[in-house]
Amino acid sequence: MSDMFTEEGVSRRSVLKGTVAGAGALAAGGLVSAGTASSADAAGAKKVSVGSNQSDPAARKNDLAWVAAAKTAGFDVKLNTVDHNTFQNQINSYLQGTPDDIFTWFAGYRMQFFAKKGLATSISDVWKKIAPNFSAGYKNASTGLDGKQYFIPTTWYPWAIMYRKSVFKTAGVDPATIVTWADFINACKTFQSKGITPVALGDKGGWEAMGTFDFINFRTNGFKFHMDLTAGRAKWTDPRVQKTFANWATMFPYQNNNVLDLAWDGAAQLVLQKKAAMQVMGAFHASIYTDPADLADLALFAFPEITPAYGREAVEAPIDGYMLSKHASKNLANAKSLAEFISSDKYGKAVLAVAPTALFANNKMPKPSDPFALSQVNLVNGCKYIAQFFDRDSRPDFAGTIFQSALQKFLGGGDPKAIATDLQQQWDALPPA
Amino acid sequence: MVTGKSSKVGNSIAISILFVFSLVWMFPIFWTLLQSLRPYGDVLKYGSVSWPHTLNLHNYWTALVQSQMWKYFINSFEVAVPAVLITLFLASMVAFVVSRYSFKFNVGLLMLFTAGNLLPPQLVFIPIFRLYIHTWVPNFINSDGVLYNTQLGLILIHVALQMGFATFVLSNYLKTIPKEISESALVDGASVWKHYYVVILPLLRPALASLGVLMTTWIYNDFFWSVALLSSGDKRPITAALSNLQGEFFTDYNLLAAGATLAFIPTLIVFFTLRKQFVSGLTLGSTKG
Repeated sequence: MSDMFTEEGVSRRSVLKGTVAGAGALAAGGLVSAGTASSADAAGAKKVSVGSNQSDPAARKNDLAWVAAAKTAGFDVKLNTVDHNTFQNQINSYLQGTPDDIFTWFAGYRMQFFAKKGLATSISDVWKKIAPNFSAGYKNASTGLDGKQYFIPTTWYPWAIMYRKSVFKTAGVDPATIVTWADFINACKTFQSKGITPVALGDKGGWEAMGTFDFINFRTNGFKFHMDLTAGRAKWTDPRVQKTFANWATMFPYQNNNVLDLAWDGAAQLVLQKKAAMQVMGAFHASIYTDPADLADLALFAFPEITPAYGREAVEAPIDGYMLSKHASKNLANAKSLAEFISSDKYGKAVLAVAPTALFANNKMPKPSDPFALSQVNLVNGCKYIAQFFDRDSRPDFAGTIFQSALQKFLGGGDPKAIATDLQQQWDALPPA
Repeated sequence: MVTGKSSKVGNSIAISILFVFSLVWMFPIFWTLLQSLRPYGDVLKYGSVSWPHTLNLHNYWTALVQSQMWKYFINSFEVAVPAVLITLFLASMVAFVVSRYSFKFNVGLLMLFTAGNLLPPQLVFIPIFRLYIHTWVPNFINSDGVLYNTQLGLILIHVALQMGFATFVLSNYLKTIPKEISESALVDGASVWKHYYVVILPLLRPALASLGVLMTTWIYNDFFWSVALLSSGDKRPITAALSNLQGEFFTDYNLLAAGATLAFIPTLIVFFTLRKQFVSGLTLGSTKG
């Protein structure tokens, strides 16, 4: 293969020369243009830089749509898109370095964590103007531990049990009858007897099973205990944690047996291919459905009740949105003005035009017409409490490496008592947040 | 004699072991290539371990044009080429001085450069990050006015980290070149600069070529610093930008495979066009004349 380069036509030397000369010219051009590009001016437009983790092609389309709408509203938005995972991993150094004025982030503990560290700019004054656009729950989710607001909620999505209507129909199971844990286990038995894996679960990434943990934990022990546990106010050695693990273990016989080999989408594919009946997943489960006919067959129902006193009062529905960095203080008026724009239905309508199934926090936005999206709204409307998801409700350093590997150990057959003791020890060993 | 026969047997055992290992090494590459040619729909329908029903270059098109990977290739070269040139230029000067002039701190200087090489980047990352967000640069280089988040900063860190190894190798190489050449240059009245530029530098060419090849691939392959020291998505080199092809939840691994294949092509080109230098680079400086 190497001879192709040396003996036939292209000499090594000419390739080398071409590469060096070409790249050298590019380097010279690039270094200079790097600085000047940002100073391009639209006359009188309010310049704001926005850091975004919306790197998927579909998500990027949303960004471009609202940035265009912001342009007509008199903003010159400079979008800095970094891929989702790197953005998250890098957030600490990003915020301490030279962050953009506004950046995409999440409600809940994850927002409070950076607000407390002084890396965010409070926008309580903006909230005074925009409060009528949001229900009180969203304002709470946007409030830091100091009582000031730091967050503009934009979109959200719920977690639930995803299934294909046709699979349930063939097996003769009516999802509306699955209310209690016993109903759920019975349904699992029916699917198993028909040769279908009842529950698809993948936890290769470590985070996927957090959804199942959250549901079982707040269904078993109530929402308050769950939030206390994720925030470290309750102990992992509490016997209630063992109840959660024990309840989860009753699901194990009905799961696929390669849980740790599959990422969430691998497990979701089992549902799509009708090899599995259900998956506890976020609404983004739908993103692997490329065929509209399959998509029309997709539906969801609420996670079954476990302790009757807690019913199905809580749901997991992470809220995405924007925060102002500390760096925004250099451009405060413009940044706050853009934050106000993002909170308005002008933002929502621009995004809705390219993402018809998106769900918005803003109450001025019309109800979705898509049946799957509408079922998500109804699911959440019926709930008293909303959790953000484990990794958004807990310390990043705990949720990331520590809890993820503990869950994987549990799913791999580890002893739940030892895992809980270990979790508490590791929590105690963390530096004060 | 017995030895002839047993060495033949030994040879074939060695070759079969090597063959198995080469398969182990080649498998991931072939797997990546195969997946990169399969559309996601094909995998979804038949599973990822299955006989492919459709093979095309669509993923490459998507990666290169739709995801604009070509931009990140340019970024990579903008960092790698100046970094290699500056490193070689500076390292050759240091090597020249430490091997041709004797000062008291000669060995100490060489040790300092080599020791710097032993520090793992993970260890120095935080101080360097702090340093970068406080180092002033003019506004035309970075509108934030600091070295952090500039390609210049990335070039400088590569120069700093590669200098040690380059100096070590070049000075060892210079020691294999007879001192008499330098002495006759001095006798002929060459200045220090002329001695370096006219006499030593041409002699260093094979070593510079080998080092250049090695360093281009190292710097091109760097992921750590480009993630640590750049916060703008559009300044990142190809290695870091590959993760742009990964989604928040959903990742099209076939597209990612195409992107990964594109990313390693420049390394292959460098290797095959300069493989003599590449191989000699591996043993460079390991012998002393």
